[in-house]
Amino acid sequence: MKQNISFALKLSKKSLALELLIAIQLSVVFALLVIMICAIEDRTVYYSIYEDAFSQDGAIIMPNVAGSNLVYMDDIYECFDKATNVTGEGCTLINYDEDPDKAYLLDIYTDRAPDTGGTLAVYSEEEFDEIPPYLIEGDLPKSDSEYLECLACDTFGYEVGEIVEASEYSTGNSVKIKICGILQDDQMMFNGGNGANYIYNGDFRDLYYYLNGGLRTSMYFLTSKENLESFGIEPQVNWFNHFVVNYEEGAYTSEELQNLSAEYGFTLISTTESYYEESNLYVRQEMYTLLPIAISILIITIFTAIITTVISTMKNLRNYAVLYLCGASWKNCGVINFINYVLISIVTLIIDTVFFIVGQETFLTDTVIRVNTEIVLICTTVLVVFLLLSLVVPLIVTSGKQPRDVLKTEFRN
Amino acid sequence: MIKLENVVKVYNPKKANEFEALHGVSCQIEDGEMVAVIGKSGAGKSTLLHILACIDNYQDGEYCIDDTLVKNLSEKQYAKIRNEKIGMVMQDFALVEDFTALENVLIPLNFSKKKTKNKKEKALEALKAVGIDDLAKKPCNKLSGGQKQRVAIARAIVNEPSMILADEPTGALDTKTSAEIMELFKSLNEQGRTVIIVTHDPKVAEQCQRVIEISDGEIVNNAS
Repeated sequence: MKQNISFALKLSKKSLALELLIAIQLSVVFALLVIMICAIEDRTVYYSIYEDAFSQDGAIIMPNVAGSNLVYMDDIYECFDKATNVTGEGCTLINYDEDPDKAYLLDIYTDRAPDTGGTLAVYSEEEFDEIPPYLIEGDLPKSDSEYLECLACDTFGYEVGEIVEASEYSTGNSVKIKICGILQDDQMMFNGGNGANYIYNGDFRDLYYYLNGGLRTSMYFLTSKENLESFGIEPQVNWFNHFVVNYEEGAYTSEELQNLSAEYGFTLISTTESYYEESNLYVRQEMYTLLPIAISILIITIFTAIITTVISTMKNLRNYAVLYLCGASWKNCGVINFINYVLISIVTLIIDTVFFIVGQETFLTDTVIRVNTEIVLICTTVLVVFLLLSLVVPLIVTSGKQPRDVLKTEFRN
Repeated sequence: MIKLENVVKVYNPKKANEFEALHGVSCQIEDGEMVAVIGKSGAGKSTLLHILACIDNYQDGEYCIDDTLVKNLSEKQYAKIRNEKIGMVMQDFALVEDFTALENVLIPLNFSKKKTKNKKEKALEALKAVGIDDLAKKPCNKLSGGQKQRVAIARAIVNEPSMILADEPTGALDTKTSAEIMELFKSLNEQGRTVIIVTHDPKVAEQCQRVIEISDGEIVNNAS
């Protein structure tokens, strides 16, 4: 094995330019694949959180602010005693002393001065992972024993690292908020909270809050549910947030839902059935646009894989024949070819890793391109397929050919 | 000693284009002989050479190297014989062009199952034996035809095989260089190595101790 690796390294070194070109070509194809997957994910990720909930029987509700008996998540389960699951997150309000230096950033649509209260919304760790919010700067909240790390909308000029001393609305507990990141405007937030406005299209998009700082009169902070709870604060459900309550088939009739709505003080938006249909329709329509591009990229990926392995094998076939003459087996040559392709794949991986790491900090920040675990797994799978092809394609290229045939062709008699 | 007894080679057996290239070829080559194998194109010279070099198999008969039967062996065993017992020189040199002369000569040493210390020195010795140790670090694609063939010969002898097989070794060379290469083969033969040269060139055949003539897959002449 040692001599196989040694030969593969030597052969690669001698034809460095060609191997680098092949690696660059492969890395471009991989980058296209990642971009395509991100584009598809972007169209579908906001639905993926609700897809399971919509596919089951359920009701979409918004507990009302005034006169609602639904304050905490447990209250929803008490109200819907046949509920099997509830999808959605609560939030809370905080009061703080407005920074006079920032008071000039008034709501552009009203002449009101900014409120001295803000929404403190939460995402679970899973939600941060699945639909991480876009940031202008900073990082997602981490746990901290002294400060509650929060993201902030960019309306009032708060900066990363600033501390906001606040008190929480329901408990009166004081809490020091440390701003760890600034949210980009015009994005879909899973959790709206006080000050959120919604447009109803009848599909999953309705349940999201389109963050627009210019339309807000108060701050929007976002932290993790786990962080908030570690400060002894439980998110409340009655601050203009949507919840999908799932229950077993036929558990509630339409009339029963209306009665619950009146009794507990929540707005019944819809049952899940129509939202499921409309959401699927919307996603399908989005996918139709992307499908031709996705298929093209897939075809390019497959052909590139095959062609690069054929080129690599054909280029080295003569050399393998020489090794064979000198006492290598044909199997040795196959292994050397495979190692050669592994080396190309490693270079490809390095190029793409550098591209996306640098890109995510610079030219890709305003795009939907984000490399997450899922994408890394998909690319790893594709790379494994490439490597399998590098084992199979040489067999096809040399199929039926005995080493003597290669020697006859390459070293004419 | 190399011994062939009634060796039969059939290409594409049991197929529509089945072709018997060697019809029961028998001959014996003693250690230290320098033998030329001549014949017209398609006579079976290369087929015979490939069998001798363990690049190709045969269907019937026996081929023995030093009383060891070379038949129906595993790929590993054939590779071992090619590495340890045979040194091959081809018409088009069969070098890895991007490698240096030294790197080419190291190839058989690197694939050898024997533990060899000082491989580099051994390779340099082989290059010295063929008179081009000063070109050790030069890439082969920068060498002349004659120099390349010397590298190929150095590579063929580096593992001290019992026989050197050469397939038209002067075919791609000019007259002067051909003469130099033949002198090299003769000096290797004088050192006790068995040399078998397949050639079209009667002048090359003249310089060998024995000439085996093949025609239509049969040995028609086997004279000193």
